[in-house]
Amino acid sequence: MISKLEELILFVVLLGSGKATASDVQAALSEAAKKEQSFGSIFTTLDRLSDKKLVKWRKGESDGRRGGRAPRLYEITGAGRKALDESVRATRIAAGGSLEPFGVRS
Amino acid sequence: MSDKFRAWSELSGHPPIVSIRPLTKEDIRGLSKEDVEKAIAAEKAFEAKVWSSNEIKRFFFSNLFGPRDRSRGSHARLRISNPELEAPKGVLIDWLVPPDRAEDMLLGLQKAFEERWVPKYGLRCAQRMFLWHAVGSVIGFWINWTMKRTKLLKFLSGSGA
Repeated sequence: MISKLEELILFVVLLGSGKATASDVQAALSEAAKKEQSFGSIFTTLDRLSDKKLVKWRKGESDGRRGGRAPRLYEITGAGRKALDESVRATRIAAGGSLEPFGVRS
Repeated sequence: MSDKFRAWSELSGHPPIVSIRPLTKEDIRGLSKEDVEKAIAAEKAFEAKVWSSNEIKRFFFSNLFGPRDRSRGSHARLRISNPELEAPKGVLIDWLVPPDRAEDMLLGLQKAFEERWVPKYGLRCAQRMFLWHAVGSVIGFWINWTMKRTKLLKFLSGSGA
């Protein structure tokens, strides 16, 4: 079972279609929560998800600015999608709701 | 952004203006001729304004601790802040986090700083946020590293299930 923060991050990474950066994740979560989310927790959780093989990352292309640094682009793995489905399903079942509006695999 | 800066921004038609600093060559680099002319006109309009005591305090404070263009004297100049130039270097992360992880951390923080925090909160607040998040990222990284090494995370997740 994954934590709520891991679930949210997996959602954002899934929506990023393989091009989600840590900054994108933080921006999306901050916007959703109406409060700046800690970068520390985002980086740590992304590392943890990466260790669990729920997400994978590759080096993106540098835009020539910021010292020529290249961002990590995160992509959800099959195991990550499965974990996300299970987590959302558990949440919905616990709430007594239907899974269909969320497009969650049954 | 204070009323003063908002008024200045409206006057010059140039949004990313966040502080009073000496106008340097770097500030106007890359700007179109029209923007430079607007900035100079707005500077003159600003200098003609009667300052309140708080504005005077802020002026002296920013000039005492901020960068100064000595070639143009020590008088106040409005600065067209370029967030890219103002972004902190993230030395803390560079020193305390392994290079492969530091690269992504710094990039994420600098991107947030330039694209979201400066326009939303202003330069000084964004710089404080950068420092705060940088410290949090370093601490988080080493806590995670320690937990991984001691297998504490595995133990906790096992006992929690």
